[in-house]
Amino acid sequence: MTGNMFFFAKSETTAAATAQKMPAPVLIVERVCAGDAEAFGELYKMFAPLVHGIILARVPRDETDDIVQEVFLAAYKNLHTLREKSAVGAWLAMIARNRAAEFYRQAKPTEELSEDLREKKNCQTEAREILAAIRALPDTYCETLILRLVEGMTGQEIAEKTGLTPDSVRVNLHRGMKLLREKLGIRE
Amino acid sequence: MKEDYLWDKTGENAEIERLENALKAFRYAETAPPALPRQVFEIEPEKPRRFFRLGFAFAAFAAVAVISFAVWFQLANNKIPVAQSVAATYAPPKSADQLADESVYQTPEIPAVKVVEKTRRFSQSQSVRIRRNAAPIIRPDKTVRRDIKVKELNETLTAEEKYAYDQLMLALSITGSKLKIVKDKVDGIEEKTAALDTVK
Repeated sequence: MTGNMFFFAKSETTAAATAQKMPAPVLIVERVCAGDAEAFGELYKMFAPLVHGIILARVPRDETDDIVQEVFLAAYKNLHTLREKSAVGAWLAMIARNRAAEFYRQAKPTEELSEDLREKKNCQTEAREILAAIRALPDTYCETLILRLVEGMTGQEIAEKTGLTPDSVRVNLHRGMKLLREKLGIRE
Repeated sequence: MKEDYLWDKTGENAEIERLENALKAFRYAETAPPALPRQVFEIEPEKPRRFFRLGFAFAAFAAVAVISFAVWFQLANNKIPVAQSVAATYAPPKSADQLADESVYQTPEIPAVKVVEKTRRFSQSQSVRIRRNAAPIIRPDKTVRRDIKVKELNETLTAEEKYAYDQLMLALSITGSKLKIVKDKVDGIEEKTAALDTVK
């Protein structure tokens, strides 16, 4: 009897310990799979900047918010198919890239902006030029720089959420920054 | 360190800060998560439809079976000839006395058997309903004395009268047997009531 009690006590402690050891995204994903709508809100809050940054690197800014929502809806519908729960960030990033590619496949021909609208947008000209310069960089540098400069993430956060190694992120940041400086004509 | 600011925002880097400030306009503005569809994980809307399809198929099969059976039944009925004439007449057996008297008088040529033709429905064998209005068959053991009288009468009666006489005798004998049955029953009831009275 005491042995059994000890066993149960030990198993509870180990379960609690494993729960503590489990990273937060894994727990959130498991809760979402169990039908917890609040957990989905947490997941959205946690990864929305990442998805937004990845989409912003590829798609016109006006479209990004809609595509972010679409990405999370698609993720919610297919979350039970995700085997590696800890890789949810990388999985979301992949869905976001696919959605961005799909946007261009389905894109309708657009019309040029009128003169008035162009003048209104002049206040953001510098930001647009910088963003355009970043978008012109290779995809790996572009994504990392947008996550760093636009979304305000640190290198460590980018590594954790995208599933890349910190070293890869560091290299991408430095090489991307170097190329961006060249494009913008900034001297180091 | 300049590079530390790019990595973890520690230290200072005016150039990167300027870029950050410029690009802040494009930063993700916190929005509410998308409205979730109800019961995403319950992906079984097909079942009722499948059940309905199965029921519909069963009903259709039953309807087809009934219709085909009805058609077969109709065709089978139409194939059978409506009436088949049975030409053969049925001659009633004659008693030994009648055979003996045949030389004395000739019974009229009455069709002994009336054949009622009926369409067949379920079986291949043709059923024929026979209404017997033939001359009575008189048992020799019971009618010995009567036959003797008949012999005497036959000498004076015509053939038609003889036939009528036989019919009458038959009716009387049937009536007598029925009366006897009735009498037996009455006697039995009386006995029963008497036995019950004695018991009481």
